[in-house]
Amino acid sequence: MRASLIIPLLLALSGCFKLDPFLYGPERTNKYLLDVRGPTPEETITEDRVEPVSIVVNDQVTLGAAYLKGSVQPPQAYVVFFHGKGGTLDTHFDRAKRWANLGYDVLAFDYRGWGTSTDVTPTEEGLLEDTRAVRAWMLQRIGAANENRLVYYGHSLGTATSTQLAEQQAPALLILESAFASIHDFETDSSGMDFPVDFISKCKWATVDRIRNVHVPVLLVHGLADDFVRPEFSKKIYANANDPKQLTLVDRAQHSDIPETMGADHYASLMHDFIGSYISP
Amino acid sequence: MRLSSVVVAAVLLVGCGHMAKLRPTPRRQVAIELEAGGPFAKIGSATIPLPLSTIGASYGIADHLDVSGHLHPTAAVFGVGGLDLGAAWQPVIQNGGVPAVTLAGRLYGFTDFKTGFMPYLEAGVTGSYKIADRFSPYLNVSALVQINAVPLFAVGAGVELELGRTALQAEFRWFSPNRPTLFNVVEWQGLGGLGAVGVLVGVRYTVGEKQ
Repeated sequence: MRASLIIPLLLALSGCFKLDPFLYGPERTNKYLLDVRGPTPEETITEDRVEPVSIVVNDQVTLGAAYLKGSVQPPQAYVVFFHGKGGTLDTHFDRAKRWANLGYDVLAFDYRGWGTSTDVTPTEEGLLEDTRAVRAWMLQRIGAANENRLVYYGHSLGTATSTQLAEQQAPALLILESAFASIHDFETDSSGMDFPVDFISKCKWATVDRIRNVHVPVLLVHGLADDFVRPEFSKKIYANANDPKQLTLVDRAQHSDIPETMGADHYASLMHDFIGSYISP
Repeated sequence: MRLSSVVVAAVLLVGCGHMAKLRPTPRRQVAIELEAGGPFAKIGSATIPLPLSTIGASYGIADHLDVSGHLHPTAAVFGVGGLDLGAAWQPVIQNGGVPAVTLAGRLYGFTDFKTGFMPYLEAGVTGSYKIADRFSPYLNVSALVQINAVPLFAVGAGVELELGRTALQAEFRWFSPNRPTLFNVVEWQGLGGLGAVGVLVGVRYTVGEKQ
C-alpha cells in the first residue's frame, strides 16, 4: 500500500494529473487460476461447473470472465457479479462460487484494466461500456426469456458499477453489499471539507444519486463493523432508493466478511428470501 | 483495497495547511515563508504526515500589522490552483509576564481552472512568549469556515527559533478535535477517536535588516 502514496508523489514530480488512476489501482494477471477449491464447502465447486469465457466489449477491449453453473438447474435466477476494487476475478472467485452454490448461475468478470482483461485505463464511462457488454453477453447466454430473472449483485466498488448499469439497463433485482455513496461522500466523510471532487477526479460514482433512477427491488447489506465503507453510506443510499427496498445491517461484519459473519445459512436465507420474493422458481 | 490514496490526496489540497502566525512581519520588511506538513494518516503499514505545503511572502504595512499571500504547491501538483491572501495583527505586545497575542485571518481560493472556484475563510489566534530573545513557544486556535459544511477547528502548540534573519518553526497540531474520525476511510491518527494529530514545520527568511 505504500506504493499508493509513493507512486502519485513520484508522478507528481512530472507534472499535473488527476486522481482517477489511483481510485482503481487495477491488478493484472496473465492467466486465471479459477480455483474450484475454497476455504469452506459453500465456496467449493466442481470443475465441470466453471467455464472460462471472454466478453468482447469493442474492437479494442475484451474482458476476462467466468460463467459458473448453479447447483440447481435450471436456476431460479441468473446473477451478474460486479466485484470490488482490489484483486482480480481470482481474488473474488470464492464469492462467485458461493453464489453458484446458492443455486444461481453466475457470471463473474474483470473490468478493463483488471486481470486478463485488456489493459486500458479504467474510467467511469469505460466501465459502463464494459458492464453493458457483460449484460448483453449474459442475455445472449441465458436467452431473452430469462431477462426477468437477471440479478445484479455488486460488492464494494461493484455496487457503484452495478447501480450505474441498473440506471440504464435495469435488472430484475439489484443487490448491493458494502456500498459507498459516492466519491464526494468519501472525501467529505474523511476530511470534513466541502472541497469539490470535480477538481481532482472525473469520476463521481454517485450511487446515492443514481439509485433514484433505479425502479427495481433493491437489497442493501452492510456490516456494522465496516471501518472502511461505513454503514451510513448504505443508509444514505437506502433513503434515496425507490420502493420496494430492504436494508440489512449485519452485526460485527466488516467490509468483506458479511457472508462469513452472518453464517452461511443466514446469508443464504437472506438472499433466497429476497430473490424468492420477486422471482418465481 | 482501500480508496485511501484518493481521499488522502484530496485532503492534501487544502485543510488548515498553515502554521500559527506568531507575530506580524515588521513594518516595511518582507518575509519569505515556506511551510509543510499536515495530519498523520496511516497508509498501509506506514503512518506519515500528509505533505500540505505553502510558499509565499508577507509584508509589514504598519507597526504590528502585515499582509501576506501564499501559493499551494501540493494543490498545484493535482492541477488545482490554490492561493491565500491574509493579514496578521498583534493587538497585545509581550510585556513582562504578558504574552504576545496575534490575530490572523486568511481567505483561501482554489480552482481547477475549468469547473469552478471554492473559497474558504480561516481565522486564528496565537499566544506566544519569547524567551532569551530567541525561543518563542506558543499556543494557537484556528477555525476554517466553509460554504457547504460546518467549520473545522484546530488547536496547535509549537516553538519558533530565531537565527538572525531566519526563523524556524515546528508545530504539533490537532486537526478537528471535535470531530469523530475513528471510522473514516482515511485512517487518521486521532486522539480518543477524534480528529487527527499532525506536525508542521516552517522556515521564514526576513529580507532586509531586522528591527
